Formats: sequence, C-alpha cells, structure tokens
Amino acid sequence: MLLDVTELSISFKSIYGYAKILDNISLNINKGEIVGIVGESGSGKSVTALSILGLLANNASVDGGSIMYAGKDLLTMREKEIQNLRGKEIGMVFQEPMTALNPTMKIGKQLANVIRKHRDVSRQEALALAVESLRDVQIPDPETVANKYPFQLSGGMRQRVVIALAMSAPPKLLIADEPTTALDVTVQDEILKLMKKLTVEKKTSILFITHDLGVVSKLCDRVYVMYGGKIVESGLTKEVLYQSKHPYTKGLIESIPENKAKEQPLKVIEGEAFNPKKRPAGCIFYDRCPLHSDKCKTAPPIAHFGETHWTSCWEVD
Amino acid sequence: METPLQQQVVQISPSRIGWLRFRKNPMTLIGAIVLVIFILAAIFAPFLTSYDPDKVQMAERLAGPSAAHWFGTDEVGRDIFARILYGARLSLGMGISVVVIAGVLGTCIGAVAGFYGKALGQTIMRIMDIMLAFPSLVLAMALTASLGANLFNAMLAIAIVKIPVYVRLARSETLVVKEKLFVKASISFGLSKFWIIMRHVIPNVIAPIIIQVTIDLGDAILLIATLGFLGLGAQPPTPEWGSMINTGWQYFMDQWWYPTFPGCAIFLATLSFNLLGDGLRDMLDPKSIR
Repeated sequence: MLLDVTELSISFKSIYGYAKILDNISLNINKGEIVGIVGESGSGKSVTALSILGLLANNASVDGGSIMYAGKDLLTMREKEIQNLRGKEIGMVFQEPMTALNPTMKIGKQLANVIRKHRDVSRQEALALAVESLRDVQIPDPETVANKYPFQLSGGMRQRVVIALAMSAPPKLLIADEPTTALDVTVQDEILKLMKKLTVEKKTSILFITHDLGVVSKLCDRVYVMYGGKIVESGLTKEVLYQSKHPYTKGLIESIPENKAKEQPLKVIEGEAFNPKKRPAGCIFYDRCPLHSDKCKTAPPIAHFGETHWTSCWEVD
Repeated sequence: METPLQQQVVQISPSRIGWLRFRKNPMTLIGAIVLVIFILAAIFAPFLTSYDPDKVQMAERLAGPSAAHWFGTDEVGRDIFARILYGARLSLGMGISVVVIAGVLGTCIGAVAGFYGKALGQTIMRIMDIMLAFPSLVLAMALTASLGANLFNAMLAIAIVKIPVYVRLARSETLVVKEKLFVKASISFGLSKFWIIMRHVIPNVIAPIIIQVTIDLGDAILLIATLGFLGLGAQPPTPEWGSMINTGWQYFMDQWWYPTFPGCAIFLATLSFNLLGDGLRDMLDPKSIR
C-alpha cells in the first residue's frame, strides 16, 4: 500500500467558530492504482488532497487520524521532511491552470528549476530535460513553448505544463485536484488520456479528485464518494457506478444529464448543499435523503458488499 | 457603395500602450529629457568643460558669469560650471546607489516579512515602524553624525533611512502574491521557501518597487545635498552640490551665482526624477488605464 489515510479528522477555525470539514476519513491507494474521490463542492475533497501534502491553511487543525506514506506518518513529520517528499514522492496538479504558473518566468525555466531540484543535472541539461518533458505531455513544438511565458499559452496547454511540472521527478503518487474542471470538454478528454498514459509509463499512482462521474468512469480503478466530510460509499468504479447502494451516489448518477430523455425533467438531489455548521448528529445525508427515517438519526453502520464495495447507510438491502 | 462590415481591430502591444501613455503626459517627457541631459553631462563632463573642477585660480576668484566661466567662479577661482558637471556624477551616482541598496535590501526583507507572516514578519515590521517614526532627515543626520561625517557614511545613512518604505511596499505586495496558486504549486513541486521568495515572489512584486525607486531617486539626491549642506556629507573640496551651497550661501548677497547654480542643479535633478516617477506610475499601474 502506497498511501494509507486512517480516520483523519480536520476542522477549520474561523471567526465564526469551529467547522468540522473532514470526519473520520479512511482511504488508501495501492501502487499503480488510479483512485477517484467524487463529491460536490464543500464535501472536503480538496482538503483531503491538501492535507496529504501538508499544504493546509494556518487555521486548519488536525483533530485525529494518520496519513501513512511508505511507513511514515505525514502528519507528525517535520516540515523539512515533508518538503523532501513534495514533488519527488508526491506531486500535485491543481484545479486552475491559469494561475498555477508563475507569470514572470518562461515555461522552460520553471520546468528546469523543478527538474534541477529533483535531479542532479546542470542548468543546460535541465533545460534540455524540460523540453523533453514538454514533449512527454504532448505539447507540439516544445522548443518554442519552452521559450514562452504562461500568458501566451491556452488553458489546456498550461495544464499540460503543470502536469509536466508535477511529473518531473517523477513522483510515486500524483494528486490531481479537479485538473480538468477549468477546461472545455475536448481538451478534458486529451488531458485524461495523457494522465492515464503517463501513469502507466512512469508507474505513478493517482489520487483523482473530481465532481464529474463521467471522468471517474473513464479513468479510475476505484472510487470514494464523499459527502459532508465523510466517505459514504466506496468500491471498484464499476461497483459504485452500476450497483450504487448509497442514496447520495444514486442521486448523483441520476442527475447526470447524458443519455436521458429530453422530455423528462432531470432528477436533482433535493435540499441545500452541505453546510458544515449544521452537521447532523446521525447520518450526514439525513436532511436531503429521500429514504430517511428515525433510525437515521444515529450514525449508520458500514454495510459490506463483497470484498471491495461498502457503504455507510441504514437503508441498504 | 459598399461599406466594410467588419471594423479593423488593431492589436496594440502592452509596451506600446505604455509608450503612448508616457508620451501623452508632457511633464513626464520633460522630466525624462532633463534627466537624460544630466546623465549625459555627468558622463561627458570632461568633454563639456575644459576646466578642472579642483583647480584653484586665485586671480579669477568670485568672477561673475561670463563667456569664459558660464556659471562664474567660487571663492578660490574654481569654475562653478565644471564643478556642477562633476558634481552631477557624485549626486546621480550616489543617488542611484543609495536607492539601489535600499531597494534591493528593502525588497528582500519585505518579501521575507510578508512570506513568513507570523513572529518574524511582525518583528521586522515593528522595527521598520520604529525607523519610520523618525523624520528621514533627522535619522539620516543622526546616523551620519555617529558614523562619521563623510560621503560614504552619508550614503549608507540615507540607504538605511530609505529601507522601511521598500520593506512595507514589498511586504504588502508579497501578502497578495503569496496567496496566488503558483506559490502553493511551487511548494507542492518541492521547491524551497528561499527559492520561491527569490524567483517566484520578488519578480512579481517588482513593478511598484521600480516606481518607488524613481520617485525616491529625487528624494535621495535632495537628502545627499542636504547632508552636504549641513557639513555631514561630502567634505570640501569635493565638488558636491550640497556642500557647494554650504560654502556659497555666505556669498549670496554679492556673488549670487555661487549658491544659485548648484541650487538650480539640485532643484532640476530632483524635479525631473519626480516627474518621471509620476509618469512611470501611470504607465506601469494597470489600474490607472485611461
């Protein structure tokens, strides 16, 4: 097992008080696996990602749990040790390629800097490797692009550059935080294919964070469904998508507009998006669940279906 | 008659927009021209005058402006025009070094203070507040007086006095830049904090610093001249504008040209830097597009 997160709880302190954002999250990633985390905005996907790299804002506090990477707990590591893991062992691709690059530095130079950080090469060699890594992410005419500034590139191109930056070590684990959300659909597809190809070539595992179930079905081996800072369902992608057990997962799948009759109104999940200040005592999905009953006021048990598939709900059959 | 349906869209590069805005403001242009004249005069001083600025000619002491001595001579017969030209080297050179020293140090300190917000940042900022609490001239005088009155110490003192302005400016800009995604991304790529400050933060906070530098140049020249006038900066016989006024002002009633021309030089140099600084601010500040 490459990464093993156990019972991680994180809360944020603000002037309005404490807000629990992650509540006893457990997830793991094996070598070479692509694991997805799906959920709506505010479900704690990005916080999970940032906590792994120790990039949480100052007002976040870890209330319990552990993040084991290669036998060491990332949460108790000193900043210096985490620093050595970042980029080299664990890389990250961010949501907005438009702002993830330094606007005042040429692409090639930004890449060369990161390459020199991870490999023992001269400035000249690093620049050559930078051009090579641009070729790896299928950028046409990499020599010219290396000499350009970020503002001269399109969003898709920039995201390729960001992927090249994150993969420059290459890391054993790549955390991709909605890397295709800001891109249009055709470019999305290319980026997904590229990421899949790179992970096979470089034997990198991916933790893929998204709210797009379509992307999950194309890319991921396994998936975790998150709601309100809790994992509500988990399993192999085909199990979760085609034999969904949790009402939230079912609701998500029913609200995909593709392949639905135009005449019928699209199903939606009723109610408001999750509000961490009004965290229910029992089942986290209580307020919006179509099946809720009195027993849902106490925390639901975990129901297993086979070896990999499980959900946390009372109403499973 | 056919009328073209599509209007032609002319692409204007950002640098061209900057130039157009620069040109639109005649005061900036005047400032720049005067400044270029000063710089050329400083560089080509030996070709513009045949007089040695330090050569004493008692026979021609305190002569008024004439064809031979354009700006007259001083109490030991030195040509004032020549002294002003050579003085331009000192004033401009020192002004620039002062501002560069203060700018570079101040920016680095400010970026560090902004990046490490907590204890370190607060400590730095409170020290800067203490320095800012004194009027800059008083602090510069106190520093030169305690370091010893000479040109180098005057330069050092003014540089130190100027640092807090840059620290505050660089810090406030750093606070904005450090929240940008590319800084977080750089951390996630494993780059060190020092590297991120030097290569990712400072290049992105430099524009307002450059504007501050041009505005401060005039101020620095004025401060150098002031310290020279007070006898704390350049010492006679160095041809420095401030110290020239210092010895010249007692002759003002009878030999008006002696303190007047160095005074004009200080006035023009300071004014032109300020005009240029204002113009550059309009040019480089994207918020002031008109």
